Amino acid sequence: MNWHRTAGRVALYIGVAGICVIALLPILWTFLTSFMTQEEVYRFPPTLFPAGFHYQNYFEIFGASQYRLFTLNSIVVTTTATLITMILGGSAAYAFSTVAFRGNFSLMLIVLVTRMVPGIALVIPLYMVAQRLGVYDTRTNLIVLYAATTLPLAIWLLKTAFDAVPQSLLEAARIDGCNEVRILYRIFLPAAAPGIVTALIITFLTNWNEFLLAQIFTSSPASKTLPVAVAELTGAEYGIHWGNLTALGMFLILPTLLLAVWVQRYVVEGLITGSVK
Amino acid sequence: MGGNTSAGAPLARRLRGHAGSVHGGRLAAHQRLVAYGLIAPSLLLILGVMAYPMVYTTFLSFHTRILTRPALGTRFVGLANYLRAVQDPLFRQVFGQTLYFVIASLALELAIGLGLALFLHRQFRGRNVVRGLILLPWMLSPVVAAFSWAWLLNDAYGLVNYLLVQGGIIQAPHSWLGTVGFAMPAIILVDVWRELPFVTVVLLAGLQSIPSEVREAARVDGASATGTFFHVTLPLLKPSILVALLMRTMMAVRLFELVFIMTKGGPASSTDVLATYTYREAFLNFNMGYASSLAVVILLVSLAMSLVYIRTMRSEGHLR
Repeated sequence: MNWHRTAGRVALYIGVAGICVIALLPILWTFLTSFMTQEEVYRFPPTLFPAGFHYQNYFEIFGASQYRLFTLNSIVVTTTATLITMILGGSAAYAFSTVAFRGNFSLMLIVLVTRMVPGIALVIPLYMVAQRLGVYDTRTNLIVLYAATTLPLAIWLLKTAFDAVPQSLLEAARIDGCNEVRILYRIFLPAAAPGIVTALIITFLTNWNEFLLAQIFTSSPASKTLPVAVAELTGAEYGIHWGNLTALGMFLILPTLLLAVWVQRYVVEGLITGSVK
Repeated sequence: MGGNTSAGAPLARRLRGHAGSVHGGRLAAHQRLVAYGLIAPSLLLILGVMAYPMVYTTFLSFHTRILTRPALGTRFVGLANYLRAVQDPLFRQVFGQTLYFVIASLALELAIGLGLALFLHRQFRGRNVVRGLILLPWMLSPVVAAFSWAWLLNDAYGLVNYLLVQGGIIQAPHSWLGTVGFAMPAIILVDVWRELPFVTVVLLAGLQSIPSEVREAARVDGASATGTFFHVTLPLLKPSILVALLMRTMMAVRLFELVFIMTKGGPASSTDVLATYTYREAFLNFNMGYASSLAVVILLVSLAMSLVYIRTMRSEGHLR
């Protein structure tokens, strides 16, 4: 009986280890390859671990001014669009959650339906408009597109978070003579904080990883973001320089890794709220 | 899954009651005005960037519009674009391949996801760490996922071929992404790798919402483990499964990045899907009218899925 249980445990942990290796393999490979020379990458049998830490790839990538610009574009576009989404979406979600106004439900339906619209169904008119307005290949254009496309899900996540704030908490503050603005900042928002963090992370990651819109609406270092730059390196005409590609790829992975370590429970929460709640 | 609904809608009603009882109707009207003001900016952005393009794409799909030939203008052609699509052998191939991709990846994700969810539902040390780790593929940039798997699957230097040859499973390295009949399954597997965390987490949440007493009661009544699974757990899990299926279908019909980076639709168009085909028609051939009709097909599938989704949510009491 005891032996049976031990064997079961061992099998369980082997299974768990297997799942983790498969989940992490491409990330691990990208990390290790970013320290390899081109000869090491093209070696057979394949080596997973570099002979020594070869930092050259990182210097090569960030010695080139265009890659610094792509990184800057990614940071500027992602943070600005995320901020806009959080502020506008937060206001809208607050209204949806706390005020019973005419059309509350039908407006919420519009939000829900637009959330499901695929980007490819929007890009043709958006491209024509961007060309006409002269905003094609600008960060501003990309910021507006990102802010709009992430709004529906953010509103939904924030509304769910606001709905869950216990009314008794607000009532107690009112009885104590707290004014509504103070209640909002001191009680309401802190009580909804986990949900707000969830919406923030999901919005940030969506913008940071976004590829289709960036691929279509950017063409020069003026607005090109990291995902497009990485994709371009994968299509290099004279063979791919894997060391450089993976070094640049690491910058694209970095926020994901940090977020996964620190705040994975918010991501899980967002994923569930965004689908089943 | 439950839980938040009971705390949800009453907030609005109670707030309205509060305003009404203390300050009378005028404040309630004022509050409504503020509410519209708070929602207006979001709504304008959503309508401008999402609703208007949806309408205009539909409009364009009944017209000829070629950006490289501006002299042609926008000419009404009725259903010609749709007829052209139906008669185009490449479109029929692409449509079939998209369907193949959607069905195969969904079936695999559901089967493996269910197994994984049951597995992770068990108690073991480090469970939370593992649940965090398995989320990484889903959070990872699809561009990075695409190029790293493309290299791992490389015919001459890839780790996958090396392991398969070493393990005696295949005789010689195989060009997975370069062979018709193997490229699409390879992309399906990479997509399963990417989307499995989503399906697993949704199903896991569903499993956790089933009270353990329900299953224990079934066991006490003499049901076997498999009997309990098929007659108790699975039926109770049905709403979660449906939600996972709907959300994944919506995402799968718009598959783009993996194909764009791993195969560019090749070899011999065997991995071309609706989104990559539409992208090419619109942004390489600038054939906006025809591309719009293709976009409308993707849009309709997504909207149909979202309507079913909203109905499911309403019948489950999550939306009022």
